[in-house]
Amino acid sequence: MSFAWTFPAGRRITKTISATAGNVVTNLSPGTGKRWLILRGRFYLTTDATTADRRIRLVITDGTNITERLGASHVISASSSGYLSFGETNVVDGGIYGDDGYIGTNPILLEGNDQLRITIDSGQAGDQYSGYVVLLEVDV
Amino acid sequence: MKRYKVEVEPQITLEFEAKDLREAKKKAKELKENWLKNKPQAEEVITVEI
Repeated sequence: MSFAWTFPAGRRITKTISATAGNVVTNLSPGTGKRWLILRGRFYLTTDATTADRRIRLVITDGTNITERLGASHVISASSSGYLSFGETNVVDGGIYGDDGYIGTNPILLEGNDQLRITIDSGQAGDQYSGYVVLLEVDV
Repeated sequence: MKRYKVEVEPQITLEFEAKDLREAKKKAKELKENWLKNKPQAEEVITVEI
């Protein structure tokens, strides 16, 4: 006779996005033998003087194809800054005070080559973004 | 311009554009160095007893 534990074990991890240029895309992926439950995150963008309407955008891929567009921030214009958060909060009007967008979502399951992609619409080389993603990692 | 990617730490890759492999390798090196250099360090907060 054997038993199988069915509770969501695993490790809680905070992934840090270092300051990265706005024209560079960041992909977070669990890799072979790992499964992630992405719980929440927050990103910060500062822009240079180049005239363009930037947005912080979050996308899920299977490693190749976009399988879901989670959403994006409001427009962040030249020479300014803004935040985008996502998580399980059911935001009401005014609830995102201090941020330029909030994406309410259930935990997101990623496995293998799946990716959480952070991209800046119209991102410039002189822009910089950074942030944090909190997730639960489980071996499969 | 072609798209390239570099792994800056386990489970995190950066995608970028470059005109050729030579430029891509140079840029990838810069991106990885910047990533490690810019990694935020936790601010030290010291508990005091009174």
